[in-house]
Amino acid sequence: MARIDLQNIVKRYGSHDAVSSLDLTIHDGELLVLLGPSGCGKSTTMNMIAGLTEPTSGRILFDGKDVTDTSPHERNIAMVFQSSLLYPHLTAYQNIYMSLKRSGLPRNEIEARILRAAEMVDVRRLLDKLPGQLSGGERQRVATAKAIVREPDCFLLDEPLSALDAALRMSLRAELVNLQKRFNTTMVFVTHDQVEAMTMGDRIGIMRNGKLEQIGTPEEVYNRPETLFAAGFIGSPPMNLIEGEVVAEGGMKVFACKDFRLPLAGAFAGMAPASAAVLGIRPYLMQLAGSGPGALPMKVYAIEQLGNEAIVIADTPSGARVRAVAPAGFHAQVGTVLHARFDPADALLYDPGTQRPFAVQDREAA
Amino acid sequence: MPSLPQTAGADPAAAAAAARPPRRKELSNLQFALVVTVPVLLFLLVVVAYPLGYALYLSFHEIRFFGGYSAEFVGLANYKAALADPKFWRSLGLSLRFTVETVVLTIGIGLALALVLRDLKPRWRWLRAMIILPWAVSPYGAGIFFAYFGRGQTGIGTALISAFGFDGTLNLITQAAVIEYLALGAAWNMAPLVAFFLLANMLTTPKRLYDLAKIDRMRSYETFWHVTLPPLRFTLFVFTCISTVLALKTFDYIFTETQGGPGNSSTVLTYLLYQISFVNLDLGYGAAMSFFLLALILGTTGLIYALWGRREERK
Ligand SMILES: Nc1ncnc2c1ncn2[C@@H]1O[C@H](COP(=O)(O)OP(=O)(O)OP(=O)(O)O)[C@@H](O)[C@H]1O
Ligand SMILES: [Mg+2]
Repeated sequence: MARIDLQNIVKRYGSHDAVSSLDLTIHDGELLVLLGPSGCGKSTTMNMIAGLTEPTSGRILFDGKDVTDTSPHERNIAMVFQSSLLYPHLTAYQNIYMSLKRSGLPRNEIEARILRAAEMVDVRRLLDKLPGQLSGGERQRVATAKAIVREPDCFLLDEPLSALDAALRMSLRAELVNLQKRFNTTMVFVTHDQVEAMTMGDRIGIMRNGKLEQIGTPEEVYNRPETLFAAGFIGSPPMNLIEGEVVAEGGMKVFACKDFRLPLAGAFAGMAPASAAVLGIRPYLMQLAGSGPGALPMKVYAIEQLGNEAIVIADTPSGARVRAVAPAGFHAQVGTVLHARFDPADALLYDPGTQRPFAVQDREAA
Repeated sequence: MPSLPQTAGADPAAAAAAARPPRRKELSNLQFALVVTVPVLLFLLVVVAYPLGYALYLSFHEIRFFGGYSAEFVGLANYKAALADPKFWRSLGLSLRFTVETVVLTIGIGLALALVLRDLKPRWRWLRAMIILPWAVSPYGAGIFFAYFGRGQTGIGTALISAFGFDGTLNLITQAAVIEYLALGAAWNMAPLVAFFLLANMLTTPKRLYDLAKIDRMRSYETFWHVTLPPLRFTLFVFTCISTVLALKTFDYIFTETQGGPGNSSTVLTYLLYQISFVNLDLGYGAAMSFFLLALILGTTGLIYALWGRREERK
């Protein structure tokens, strides 16, 4: 159990900043999910927390104690590497055992723990095999067992479930969260899976280009993305982003673009007019409807049937791609023009200059 | 009629086989290997089997050159004489001592050298290529070199003590330690090659594995044992065998460096054989003794394989 502070961390490789001025606090006992596009510095951040990579500058604190210059040995961390690393000449059992060799536990306790961990990730019958004889998913599970067999101050799991099938992934997800909550151990979890991020994380940190774009509870990052990037990155299907402007009309603010005009309501009704604005609206909040003022026309490009719902992918007349969620089994010819409506109060408005939402006086109240 | 379907089934197949030109059979690996190596095997038969057979013949005879060449069949007398000869046992002991020391030093220095070369800063990587140079020296040349190097008047020992302000000479080639000095030179000659192969192995180990070892809080010897060593083990086994054989049959290097001396303190088995066969011209006795050397070489390599090699075979 540890609270981890990263203060102004920079990691430079040559002239390229893998991580640049990163400030991040991971609370004691929290499960933080790191999410971000490939190459944004997630693994590098994990390696710096573990002490495997030395930051170019900045400080790392564990429970307020500066550990920037200490070795991994002194940090008591359990880690699953992205490539599910294992010692190639040791069996799965011996690999897991290596995590506990330094623990000083009695032999039978070690053995019991190894078997329990193996049971949890369902690799008991594989314990005699060498890593080379395991499938990718099996290796990943052994690597996970190797980490969870410890009782560290912090778990660092770098995409530990990425090679597993959907069912196994879901059950392991639950196991990991259960374990983390039972022992109340700090955990940092990297994933590319949106569902994993939303369901597991106490908080989600979104990284981009080596910086923290936004950090917050899943509910916060989903409903109130603080940047355009976060808005477009979180959620599947992604948020619709429509470019236009905000003008004042008869005491009201209206979002206007080539495709449609929408009188603003809710928090953003109080914003100042802007010559450039991006309106964001979740596909789930769009309803297909008839034409009329405030309806967004769109030409069907494709329809994805998900079983419980259908996602209509369409292009607005000005060429923006938007998505709307329709009932399961919804059909329409490609090229058909449909209209979608949404509650203006649900829309978010971003300033493309700052990439942030427009300032409004009473946004919190709304 | 249970037999009918069978004949009906067999007929079309037979017909098809007859109609098609007979399928050319691929050579099995073994057949191919035989075809390719037949000329070499024949050559080996001539250059190895003939002298071997002749040596066997000699070993059962007493050969005399003086008073006219004569060969008298003496049965196992030469073998018995060798086993009763204290010089033989003494030389056998020296050979084993030289071999064990050479192998340990060669493998040890090779491993240490490989570790140093692996961790070189990029600026110094060219040393990796330079380090192979000692291996390019022939054992003959190495013997001459180390003879000068160890000798009192010309050697490094004298140079060292005079650097510390002592007068006099320090001879490294002494009765007591000549075998150790020889082993050191032999290792100097061979270790770079071992280092080269080990280095090539080491560079295939993923760096992240060392990170894993750090997360597991391994001590440095455990990291060496579990991460660095495993990919090297097969190479270490191969070079242990090679340098064992080379050390047991070393002759030219010792011939140019110490001539079996000082006194007879470096008269290893090969040198004793040389003295018996080519100085004393006692060919029958020498041949018999040489078969003990052959047995020793086969025995040690067989032992190394049985104890170690079987475990290292690639899975
Ligand atoms: N040892 C290194 N030397 C040079 N550049 C590196 C090194 N390690 C990482 N980088 C660079 O740093 C950046 C961040 O890498 P990192 O592995 O942290 O990405 P990531 O967010 O984990 O990506 P992914 O989701 O694909 O795993 C990348 O652009 C990568 O090329
Ligand atoms: Mg990564």
